Amino acid sequence: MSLISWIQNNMRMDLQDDKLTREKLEKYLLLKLKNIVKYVYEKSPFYRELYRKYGVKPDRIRDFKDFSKLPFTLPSHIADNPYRFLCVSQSDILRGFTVEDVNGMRRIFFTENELIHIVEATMFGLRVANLDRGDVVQIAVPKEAEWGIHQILEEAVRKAGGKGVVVDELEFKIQLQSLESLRPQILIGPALHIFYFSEWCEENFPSILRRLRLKSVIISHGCVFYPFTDLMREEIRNIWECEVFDHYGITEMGFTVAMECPAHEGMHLNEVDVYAEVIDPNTGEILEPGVEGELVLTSTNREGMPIVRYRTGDITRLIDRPCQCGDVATRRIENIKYRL
Amino acid sequence: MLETFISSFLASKILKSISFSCDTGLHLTSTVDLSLNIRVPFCRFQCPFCLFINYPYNEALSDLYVRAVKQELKLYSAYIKESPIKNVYFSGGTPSLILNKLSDILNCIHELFGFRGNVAIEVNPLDLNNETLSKLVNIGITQISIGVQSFNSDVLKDLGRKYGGEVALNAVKKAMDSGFDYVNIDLMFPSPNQTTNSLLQDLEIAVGLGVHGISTYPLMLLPYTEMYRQLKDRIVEIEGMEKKMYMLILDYLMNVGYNVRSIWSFTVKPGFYNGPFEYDEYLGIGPYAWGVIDNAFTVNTPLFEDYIIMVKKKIPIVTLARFEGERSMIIWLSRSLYHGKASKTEFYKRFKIDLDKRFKWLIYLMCLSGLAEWRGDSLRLTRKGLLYGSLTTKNIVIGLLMKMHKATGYYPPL
Repeated sequence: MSLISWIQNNMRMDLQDDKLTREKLEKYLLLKLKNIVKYVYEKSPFYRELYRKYGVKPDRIRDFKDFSKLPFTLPSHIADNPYRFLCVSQSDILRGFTVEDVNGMRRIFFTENELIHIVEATMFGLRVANLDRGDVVQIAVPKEAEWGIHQILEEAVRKAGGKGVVVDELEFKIQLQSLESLRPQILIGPALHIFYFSEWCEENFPSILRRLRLKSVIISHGCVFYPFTDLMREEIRNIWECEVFDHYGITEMGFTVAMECPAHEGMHLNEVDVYAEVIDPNTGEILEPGVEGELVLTSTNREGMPIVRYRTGDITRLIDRPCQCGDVATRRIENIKYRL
Repeated sequence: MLETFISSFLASKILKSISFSCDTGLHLTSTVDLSLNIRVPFCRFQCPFCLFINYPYNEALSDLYVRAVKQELKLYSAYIKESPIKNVYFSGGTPSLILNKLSDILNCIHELFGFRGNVAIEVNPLDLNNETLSKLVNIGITQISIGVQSFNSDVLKDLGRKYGGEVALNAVKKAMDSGFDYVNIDLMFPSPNQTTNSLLQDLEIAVGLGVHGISTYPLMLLPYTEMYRQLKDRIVEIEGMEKKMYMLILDYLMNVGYNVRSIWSFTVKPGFYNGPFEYDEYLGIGPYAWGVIDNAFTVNTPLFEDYIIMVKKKIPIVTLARFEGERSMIIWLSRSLYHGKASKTEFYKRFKIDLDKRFKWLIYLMCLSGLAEWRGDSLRLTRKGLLYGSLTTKNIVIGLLMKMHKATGYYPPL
């Protein structure tokens, strides 16, 4: 399973006959970018003001090079006034999420359509990480208000034909008891929690570990960056004797930005919903694939609060060589090295 | 002008001599004089000037830490079993946060190396009360270095410290009455709104309390830190204050009978105490600990999680810089001058070449500009030399930290 079917679904291509190539995907992406720039110019007070200030004419964007000349959106812009980003009426917003870090507190808003779309995207992402019909998934994330991450995951697993159980008590003993009684095939949780939980299990209950036979561990990351190193991944893999899948998502982009496939050669970008660039953090210039720099993302599929050329502060590299999984269309990013 | 040139030249020459490599193979053999620098990576809060990765203390993490440290010590003991460990230094982070677990580590060092030497520890004033002080003495800590930074509450607030001047004062008073062989305090200068008067008051209080050692560290505006972000536009102004304040510290402490232990440290008990990085050879133990051994500067993996995984299999050094040939000479000279003097005889013993021949031009220029002078066998820094030595050392430390971060692949998240 790869992200190709998700992208093809969204591009409305014939799944059997039409092979998705990079060229086709780029054509699609460019169209989406042109549309989103026009859309935010018309609907979002923030972008209208920003683009007028910089003399941006949305009609004049012809290629990716033109797009890369657009001004950046900074976290501080959203912190200053998130409502100016809205392209719909506030009454159309179903859920707001809060992100807080050194760049200030930011509210990110989603419409109902967007949340449903996120569930769909999450379902495809989970299937890439070995989720099959009938699987049980232990979701070790805190329960939030309605439409929180826990619920998005639970719903995505259900849509894929599995059963997701949220175990939001992060005490190791309770997590282990739950693993023993649920016998899930997949465990999802924040990187540090999964790491220390694994260490604790190995130290105290090695025999239980062997009986559990997980198929996959999926790593989620909270909004506070913490490195997930190769050593940590290898340790978790060795302890559970299963595959470990990393994932990258930020609230500003609707969580589902990139997902690792079974080839484990980087995370495939969800190019239905985001367009990624890597820039030199000092000069703002676009960097070639393979060169380390700051990840800049554009949400190409949002109606409520699209964000264009958003500087994430996350340092990584774009990978554009074909992946062993057979997906030759989507680009990938490396594990995030650090956050500026 | 000439002194600024020499300072920049020396800093750049030394930094160029330190080249980190991923080839971490060491030839570990027993040495005659070995110390341990055990870095404890826990803190209550991240100080805005600090660049190191520290973790909020919790019981479970500290258990994992102690277990991993013991594993690392065991790994080393296979190579250097015969080496008598002379000193153990618990550096921070805030080692006083794991007070109840220190004896576990010390017992392990005793079992593995038969250790019976000096044990020094860095402590936060917030951790010092009658009970903790007597615990420290009972587990065999003989030397204590208190991270006071200032006795002035406004200055402490500027530095992001979570205690007032009164707490710092009481902590030092109690430590002085607790029977340690050596009590050292750290002071920092200049903080953003510190005056020469408040610095002088800090020094007077410290001297009045009779502390054995006073370390005065210049504020280092390190990239990626909160303080750097706040003050990056005031660097020139702060450096101006720093020069003025350094001379004040030097003159005051020399006048009241303190001796130069290093460019940044003054003592009334010379030879009793060394800072964590001042031993000739020492092993760095713990996450992001560094050491000097086998003519190399070694750095452990910075991330706590990677550290506890690595020590299960191997010594967790992830990068090192070798000091060989020419490099080792300039490094030796800089380390010696950090302590105020470089001995000709020592240099010859080590490198079989005359110090004044090897560094003929550098020494000539240092003497010409009044930075150093020959006194008998030793090249000694003058008052002016100590000032420029402080500025040079600060630039070297900042450059070295940046190199270390790059070499370990770690950039602190902010």
